[in-house]
Amino acid sequence: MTTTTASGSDWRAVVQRLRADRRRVLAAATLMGMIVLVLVGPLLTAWAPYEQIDITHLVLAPPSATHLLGTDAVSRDVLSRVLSGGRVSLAVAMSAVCIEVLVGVLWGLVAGLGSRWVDSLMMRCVDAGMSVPRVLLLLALLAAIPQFPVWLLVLMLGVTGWFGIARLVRGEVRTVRSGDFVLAARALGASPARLALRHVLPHVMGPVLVSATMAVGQVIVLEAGMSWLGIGVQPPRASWGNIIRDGTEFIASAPWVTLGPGVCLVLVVLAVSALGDGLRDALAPRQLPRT
Amino acid sequence: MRALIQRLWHGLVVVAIVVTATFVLVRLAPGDPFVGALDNARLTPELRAHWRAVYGLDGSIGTQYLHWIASLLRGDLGFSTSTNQPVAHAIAQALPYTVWLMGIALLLSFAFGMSLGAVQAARHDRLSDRSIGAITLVGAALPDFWLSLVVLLAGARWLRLFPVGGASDPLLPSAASALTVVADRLHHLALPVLTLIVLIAAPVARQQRVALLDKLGAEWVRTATAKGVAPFAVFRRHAWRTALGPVVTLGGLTLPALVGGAVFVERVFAWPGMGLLVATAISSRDYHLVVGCVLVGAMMVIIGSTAADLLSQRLDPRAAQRDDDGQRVPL
Repeated sequence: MTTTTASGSDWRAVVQRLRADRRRVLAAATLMGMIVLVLVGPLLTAWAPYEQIDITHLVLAPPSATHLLGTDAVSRDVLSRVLSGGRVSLAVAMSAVCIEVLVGVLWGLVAGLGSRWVDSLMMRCVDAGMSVPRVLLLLALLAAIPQFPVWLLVLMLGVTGWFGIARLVRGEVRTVRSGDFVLAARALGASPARLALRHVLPHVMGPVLVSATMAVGQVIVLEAGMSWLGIGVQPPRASWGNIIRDGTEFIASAPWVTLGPGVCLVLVVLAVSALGDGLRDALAPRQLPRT
Repeated sequence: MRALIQRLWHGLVVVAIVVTATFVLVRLAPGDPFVGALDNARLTPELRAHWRAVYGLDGSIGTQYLHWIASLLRGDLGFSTSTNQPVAHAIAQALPYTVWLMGIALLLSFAFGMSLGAVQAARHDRLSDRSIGAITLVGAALPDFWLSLVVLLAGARWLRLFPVGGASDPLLPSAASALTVVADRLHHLALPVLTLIVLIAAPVARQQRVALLDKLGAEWVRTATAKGVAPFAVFRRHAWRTALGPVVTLGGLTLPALVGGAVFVERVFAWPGMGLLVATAISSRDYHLVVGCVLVGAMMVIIGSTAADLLSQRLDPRAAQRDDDGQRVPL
């Protein structure tokens, strides 16, 4: 599926098309709102995310005016944890996606511009990566390490997620590389690296951007899932996933510990995927279904 | 035919890469199958070495790999240390549960999702399209483990209509009638299947809608309408039929989820399938079981995606002409 890609000044048109759609604006606003909330929120809450307020009287307290999302099993304010956990969840997801994009674009560029043999070998590796569920890859890599730092989680999320982007970039490169302007550049003696970075890369950035946006949503969910299994962000540091983990045991008696961070997760993923959809439409208006 | 053989050959290469990588990876990660026994001070190094040899886990990775390949060719997947039985037995126990759960869930999800998408395309931009669209957008954004928890909370705790987990009632008398057994199984299936339907049907509906809208604008659809073909026949025979390709492809892509991606759903509902098996295998460093599960999983994925491609080629012969370069790339 080839998309006509905007480059250079076309980006302004893309932004304009994005802004023309109310749903996309709403999605972007929701996302920005969440980001501002998790950045500013922890400064405003009365309790630290690790603070055990009153372990004898205030355990699993239902939502109230003082504790908007209630307290958890060890008397911590759930709202404070959700806000500070949101920082971690969003930062982890965005950094991991940066790694994904970097590796995926490089891999795809090399495969797409390389010889038949190199291409075939590299793409079989991508196929292999895509045929194993990512959760299992992550479990295999992380399950046995008792207490690992967040950067390791980010790295592992990144190195298990680039296959789709590599395949996408490689496909685009294959279509672009027979283009006249690439031929011209090659005839002028441009080096393969220059060819890749200056002439081919700009044309694949559009689809990659769409993919990366979608990937943020996937990685947020994935990190939450891993943390829920206990193999993600390590306590006492909060992330949306491990707050839900803390709440799971008490889900029948204190559902608020589980529901609060879950709703945040859904909101962010929803906003990100709506934004990704919008971006895709805005980048390739001719691809819109005709009616 | 040549293309099919080439595809299967590629598939074989992919499975080999996956299995080899897993084989090395599980051994490189810290810990080993005897990690639980490490706490036991009476376990001398000699004893540990003895057990390693018994399970075929002594020697370098290279020799272990050669041994494993040799026994694989004899049809032996090795011995599972955590479940204390041959790997093949452990998989043979878990696989039917996953196939059973996923088969039903996939079937219902695709039927449901495709109908929703078709309704949306037929009523494009009307209220029904928009409201279904909003629902599927939310459905596609729900995290699997969290949705499972919420469904469990609602169905088993609030409504008290369904069991909290497992595949069957362990207290069911062995003399129970077949009808009772079937009812019990369905009762246990309900919540996990419901969860999976929400998770799978939402993207299917979105894909179906876009594909249909795309085809509804095609020249041959306009031609058919101009010829005077009835609107419903145009929709079904000229648009829907040709729009099946992307949906079938999505079906092939959903298959990795069939084997191991259900880790979360199976865990929340204590469903004794492959997802749960592989998760415990990994956390107990049960090398042979991990590799065995991955082998089975990768093979199913390859078979599934090949089948999906063949099917979409039958639906749209032009797809057969796309070579490796023209492969459909999922965004």
